Amino acid sequence: MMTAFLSAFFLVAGAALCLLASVGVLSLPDFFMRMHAATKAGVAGCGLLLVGVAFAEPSPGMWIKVAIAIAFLLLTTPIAGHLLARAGYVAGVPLWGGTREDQLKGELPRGDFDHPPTISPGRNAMNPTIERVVLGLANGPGMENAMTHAIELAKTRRAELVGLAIVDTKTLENVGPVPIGGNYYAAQLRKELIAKARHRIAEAVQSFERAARQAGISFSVSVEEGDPAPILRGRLGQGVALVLPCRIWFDHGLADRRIDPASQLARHRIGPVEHRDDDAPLVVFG
Amino acid sequence: MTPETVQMGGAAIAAVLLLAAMICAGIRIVRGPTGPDRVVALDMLGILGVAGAGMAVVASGSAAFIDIALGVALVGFLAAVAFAGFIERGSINEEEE
Repeated sequence: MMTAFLSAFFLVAGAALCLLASVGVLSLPDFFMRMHAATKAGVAGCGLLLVGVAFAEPSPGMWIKVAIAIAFLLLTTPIAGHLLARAGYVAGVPLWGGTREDQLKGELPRGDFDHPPTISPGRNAMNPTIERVVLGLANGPGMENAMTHAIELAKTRRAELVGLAIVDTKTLENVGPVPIGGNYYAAQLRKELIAKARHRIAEAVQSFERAARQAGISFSVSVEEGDPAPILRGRLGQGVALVLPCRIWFDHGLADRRIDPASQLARHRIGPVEHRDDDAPLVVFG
Repeated sequence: MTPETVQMGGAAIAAVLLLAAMICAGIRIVRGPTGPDRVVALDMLGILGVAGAGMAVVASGSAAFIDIALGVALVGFLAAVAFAGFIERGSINEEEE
């Protein structure tokens, strides 16, 4: 008599907790929150439900098996949850945009996730501390847009504006297969390309200085040579927004193939990248 | 209202709630967006499978199904551990490239 009521109560309570856990898995915003819903509420719900089952078919054997099953769940699910969370963190699953504190930072290695980073809608609003805007200066299409965007961003956020011009020596020095006896000419070609790139950079820097003066904003310029990806990564950091033109990379149009900046960033795992539409510049928040 | 109807009614409600829970977890498996998200949803589905096996005991009146619940719990745990290993190792291999 009593066991029927107890059984019904535990069955419904357990199933309701299970549903709660699943709704959490479905609707919480990031991986780590989902994991916590699945492991905690899931085990509690399943355990209650199993108790209800034991009340429905009471026998000593049943009670023992149910006790073993619950003990097993209580022992294993937290372990599985910890392992999954650790693996997810190490793999670099993105945290929710509103996360304030990452206590594992520096404790565990953290990769970057391969899929295009999602920008949660709150990210810009919740990340108001842009202290420095770094504008990548290249000479080519899309530069104008990037320049106006960077100047506007620096103005509205009262951030320091830095123009960063890079000569992509890594790409420009790679002149392709050199035939026997062609080394001299290959060296000439490299020198020439890099000299041209320096010229184009000078133009880009000039137009940047003009635009920044016109906007009445203080700025600085730095020029670097080398592989752009590590240079860019070195410039990123807390409170830094990196603005890049969307159609031109730091070969300044001199490489024999078109280099897509977005795919360069993706390949070197610099992100998250914000790219609102086709002509808009690429913005990376540090 | 006899005790039997109370128990069967409770079991029916619980079964519906469990089904809804399984659908939620299934949607998360389909949606992703990342692999680890899917693994967590799969883990959740495993726990729901244990609960489902328990419901089978009530529905069929055969106590043998509780053994299946134990088995599903074991397999679910091992699957989660294996997937965690894959995720972690996969990321580290990519780092080394």
